[in-house]
Formats: sequence, structure tokens, C-alpha cells
Amino acid sequence: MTLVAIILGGLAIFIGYHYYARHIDRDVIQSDPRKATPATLYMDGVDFVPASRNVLYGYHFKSIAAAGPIVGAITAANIWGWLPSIIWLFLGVMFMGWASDYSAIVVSVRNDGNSISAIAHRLIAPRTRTILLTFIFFYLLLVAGAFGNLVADVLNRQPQVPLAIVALMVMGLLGGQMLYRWRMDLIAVTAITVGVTLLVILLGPAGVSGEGAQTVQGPVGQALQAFDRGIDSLAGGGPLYGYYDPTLPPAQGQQPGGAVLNNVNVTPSFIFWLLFLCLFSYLGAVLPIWRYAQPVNYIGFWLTFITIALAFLGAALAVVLNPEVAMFRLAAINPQRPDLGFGIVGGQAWQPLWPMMFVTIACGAISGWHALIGSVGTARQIENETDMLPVGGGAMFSEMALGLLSLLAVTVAGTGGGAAAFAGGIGRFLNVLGLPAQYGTALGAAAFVIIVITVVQLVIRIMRVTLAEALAERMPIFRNPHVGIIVSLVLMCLLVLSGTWVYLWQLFGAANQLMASLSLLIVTVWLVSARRNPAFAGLPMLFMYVTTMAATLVIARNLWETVVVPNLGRAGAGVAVGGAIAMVLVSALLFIAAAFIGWDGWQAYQRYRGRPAGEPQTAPARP
Amino acid sequence: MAPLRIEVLTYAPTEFFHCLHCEVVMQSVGVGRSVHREQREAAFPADLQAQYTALADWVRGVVERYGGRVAVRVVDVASLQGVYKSLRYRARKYPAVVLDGTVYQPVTDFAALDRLLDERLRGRSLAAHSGARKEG
Repeated sequence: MTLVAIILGGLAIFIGYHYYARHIDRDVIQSDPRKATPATLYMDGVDFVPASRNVLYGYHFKSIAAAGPIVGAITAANIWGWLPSIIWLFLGVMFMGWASDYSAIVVSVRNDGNSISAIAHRLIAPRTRTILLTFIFFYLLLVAGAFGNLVADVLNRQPQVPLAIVALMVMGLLGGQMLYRWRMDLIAVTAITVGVTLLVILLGPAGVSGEGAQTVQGPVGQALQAFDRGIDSLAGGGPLYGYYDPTLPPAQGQQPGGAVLNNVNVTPSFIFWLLFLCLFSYLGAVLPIWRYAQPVNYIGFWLTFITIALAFLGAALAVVLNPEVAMFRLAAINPQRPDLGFGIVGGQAWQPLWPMMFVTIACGAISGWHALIGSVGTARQIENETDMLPVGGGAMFSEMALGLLSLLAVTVAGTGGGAAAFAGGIGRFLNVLGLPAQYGTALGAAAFVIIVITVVQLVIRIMRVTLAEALAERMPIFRNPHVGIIVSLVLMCLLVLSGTWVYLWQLFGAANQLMASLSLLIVTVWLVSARRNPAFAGLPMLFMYVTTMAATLVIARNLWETVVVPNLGRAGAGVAVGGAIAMVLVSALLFIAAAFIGWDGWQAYQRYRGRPAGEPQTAPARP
Repeated sequence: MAPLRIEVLTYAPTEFFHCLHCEVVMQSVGVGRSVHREQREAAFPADLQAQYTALADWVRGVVERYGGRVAVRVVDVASLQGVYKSLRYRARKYPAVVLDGTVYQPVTDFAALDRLLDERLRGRSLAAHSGARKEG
């Protein structure tokens, strides 16, 4: 089955890219290699820098690929089954995802390299830009909390992973010294740092026996479990406190419609690993790039590259070498939701396939953030208009491949959520190539944490510079980098430890997809203004726009029905009720904002259809 | 005549654009330049920074002098492509300059490299002219 899925995925990429995307690039956009791009016209060595399409493809892919395509695909497969998830991955990227990324780059390149929000300002209305900026701030807050929680949780639950991250830190520091100070041979440094980190990752599961709940850790795992128990004993071995996470299964004893019981416990060991993440991020934010962040990313790249490439190979060869692994253990349609979630049960979360699956899978099929990255960063480095499709479209098709691997991983692993399911599936795929499953699982878990943790350290670095920029004039203390870093880390910890990040996360998918439809709306208006056929962007825009608005209403209904109503006025439920009410309000605001933008877009569409504005003449022909 | 292929293998300054959320925030609220300036300033130790600046000046000069007669590609060695190229050309000291498949490493004397480049391009022009006369 895994081979069939990979072949179908390959076909989706081939047909989508070679036939549909190339047709749009050639006949609708008419990309012209003789037209000068903003990168070549305004080359300033800072923002506008012409770059090779291979480098830009890598940059754009690295920009858009984080935890989203992994977690989204796994969550959807668990809720609705693998079949609808895989169908949406394929169709979404073929007809919408690539179009969103590619067209955002096109619009920006043809508009002097301006970002989507700036173009929205010019094409639609000033308030659109303000709304977009508000979304952006909302996201920054969210990512620090959500990713911070994700990493601390994996470090706390999987005793084989922390040692790997310690090794990554040490090898990162050593690698920077060897490369940039001692000027040692690059190949030797790569072999030493990547090799040692890999070895330490594989040392973690050495001696592990049993599976699932019967797992008995090896010496490393046992030592770390003892360490965690030692820390937890500070609070008598129990949790310090708890909170309710509506995205997780209910706590034991939870009655439908009854008072919400805490289903997440915060332990001293969890707080310890959160502080460990703070140390990792502190080093990434305060040390020179060459000393830590760059070598850590370099080593992390090799580890994730090796793991993912081998996992794909294992998945493809499983049907020949170990057909048992290639069998899907997850149902095509979740037997607990034979109606695909459309049935409503009072007091329970409603999860209808439409619209919820389309905002859950998010980045694996289509993402608004990609469009923003495409318009802000990538477009200013496009050297030649014919590079726009391989860079924007190509990177999105690659992201679909990452989403597909994650989906296959959870499907062969059987069940589970997030990092554990991803790691379990990767372990099975690597087992096909002869690596014992526990080692492959450790590699998968380490790769997942590395992908996320490298993002967190940079979020903190950038937050400290941003804080200094915004506040240093009024509060000179922010000129001290340590102050900015500590404030950023404290904010992140507050979000994680209070559990409020969960409520923000509820709306992540919806807001993300709303951004995709807004980006496509701007492209549609631009295409109409330039007298071009807007269908390739307009139809996906309509679908995503209606889907996103419906999803925000469903999310608001679920939070109201399952959290607010049964807990209103109950003691100890203040955070849950307050968080849920706040998110219901944000849902309403998102809905209203989307309605305003849709109305503005429709008026702009009518205006330009009646009186085409013509394409801006910003790109003179090359000599 | 195809341009002379020049590949420069060097440690390149690292700027992180890959935190998508931060990138958008930075650009939209107008602090993008500060963030990237900070990263560029912290990208190298001082000696490597000076070396990279000299190399960048040389590359810019080559492109200005020879225009379409040369095709310059700068490869960051701390990358998948950089490791591949280093293995392929057996480059171990950086910066290394590969002229049509021949590697020169480490490059410290840019004037000598300029002379070599001049000779190569003159040689290619003569060969092209004599080839054209024979055909004529």
C-alpha cells in the first residue's frame, strides 16, 4: 500500500506540475525570461539579491516546511482516516497549493517585489493591510507557545531524545569552532559532527525491549527516566497542576456535557525540559550565528535529510522487502466516524469532514503563510521569471511529499498523534532497510524535534532584535540582548505553562487557510486587472474562502458547546472558560474580517472587470 | 561562445529566513533590515568576514569586467551542494575557485587569479577566432 501511495503521489506531482502548472505559467502568466525581475533591477545586496533557482528552491522549501505538514496530516488521518486525508493532499496541492505559492511570487515579482499585504493595500483597501498585520502578530505569539510546548513534551515523554539534543548542542558548538576558527577540513568536520550526533541518537534506544506500553528502556532511557522521576519527586511524584486541552481525548471519568476535567498535567520534569529548551534557544539567540545557530542547523539538516530520504526509500521498498510494514494499520475511514464526522452529538465537539479536514491538514496541501513568504522573501531574489514556477510551485509539491511521508508514517504505525506517530512510522520504514525499529523510531523522533527546535531558537533571536528595535528608545535596557532574550523566553513559558496556547492553536488552521484564500483573492483581482483568465486562482480562492469561514464557525460552536456551557461558573475552570470565550470572540473577529475582505475583493473585482487597470509597467525588457 | 564557468566554493554568511512567521513579521513591521543586519554581522568571525568581503569584491569586479563572457556561481560549502562540489573537485581549502573544472585553492592572491582568468579568456577567444576562420 505504501508503494501505491508513493506512486500515486508521484503521479499527482508529475501531472500537476508538468501539465497544469506549466500550462498556467506559459499561457496565463506568460513568464518571460527577457523581462528584468526586481532582484536584478533593484539589486541592493540586502533584500533584492538575484539567486540561482536551485538555491532559491531550497530556501523556499526550508522556509515553508516546519511542523505543519507533519502534524496536520497525522491529525487528519487520526480523525477521519487516511483515505480522505490522502485525497485532499493530492488534489489540494495539484489544484490549489502550488497555485497559491506560485501566484504570490508572480504578483510580487510583477509589482516591484512588494509583499502581498502591500499589494492588497494598493489593489483592495487600506484596512486589508491592517487586518493582515494583525493576523501576523497573532501568529508570532502562537508559534512560540505551540512549538515550545511540542518540544518540551517530546523531551519529557521520550527519554531517548534529550541526549540527542544535548549532542546536537555540543556538536554545534564544536562544529562552529572547527569550521570557522580552526579552519578544519569541511568533510572531516561534517563526518565528525554529524557522525557523533547520529551515534548518540542511536545510543539512546540501545538495549530497549518490548513495544508500546510494555517497552523497557535501555540504560540511557532508564537513566533519563530516573532523572525525570527525581525531579518529579520534588512535587511528591504528582503533577503540579493541570489544564484542559479540548484537542486531546477527554480525561478518564469525563461525562459528556459534564464539568470539564483536566486532561493535561504539568509536572516538574516538563518544566525542566521547557527550561532546557530555553537554554537551547538562549544560546541560539545570544551567540554569533557562526558559533552556534549555523552549525546546529547544518548538522540538523544532514540528520533530517538522511532520516527522511531513508524513510522514503524504506516506504517504497517495503512492499518487496517487508510487505507486513507496507500494510496500513489505520482505517481508510475512521470506524468511529463512519458518517465522516457530519453527525452532531450534543455536548461533543463536531468534526465534519468539510470544512474541518481542509483546515486541519493545512500546510501539506495549501497554506497562506507560504504565500506571504513567497511574496516577501523569495520574490525579491528571483533572477529570471522562468524560475518562478520551479521555485514556488516546486517547493509546494515537495512539501506535499513531506505531508505524504507523515501520513504514511502514522498509517503504518497504527495510531497516535504528532511526534510519537511520526517517529513510530519512520521507525517501521527504516526497519525495512534493516535498522531495528527502536533505532529508527529514535531517529524519527530526533528529526522531528530538530525540525521544530531550530525554528524556536530563531524565533527567540528575532524577537530579541525586534524588541530592541521597538522599545530601546523608550527603555534603553532593551539594548542589552540578554534582556530581550529573557523577556521573549518568559513570554513563551507563560503561554506554555498556562495552557492558553491551546486555545490560540485551535484557530491556527483556520487563520492559516484564511490567509491562503486572501492571497488567492489578491491574485485573482490582479489577474482581472491585467486582463488575464483568473480561474486558476479564483476557483481555489472561492473554495478556501467558504471553507475557512465555515470552519471558524464550527470551531466557535465546539468551544462554546464543549468548554463554555458545561463549565460556566464552576470553580477551577477559569482558564478553560476564559480561553474558550476569548477564542470564540477571535473566531467571530476572523469571520467578520474575512467578510470585509471578501466584500472589498468583490468590489475591486467588479471595478477592474469593468475598467482593466493593466499590468504595472515595472519590468523593462532586458537588453 | 559559451561563457567561462567560474564556481567559487566558500563559506558564505548565513542569514536565516526559514522562520516563516518571524520573516513576515519583520518585513511587515519594518524591522526586517535590522534583523538581517544583525545576522550578517554575526555570521562570521572578523578574519573570515574580511576574507569574504575581499572575495565578494573580486566576484563583483569579474562580473563587471567580463560581463556575459563569464558565468559565476558562488556555492556555500556548508550545504549539500557545497559538500558535493568539495568532494567532486577535491577542494579542501577555501575559498576555492573552479575555472572550467580546474580547482585553485585556497585563493589568497586575487591579482594572480585575474591574470589566469585573462589568459583563459584570451585563449578561448583565439581558439574561437581560429575555429571561425577555418570554418570560413
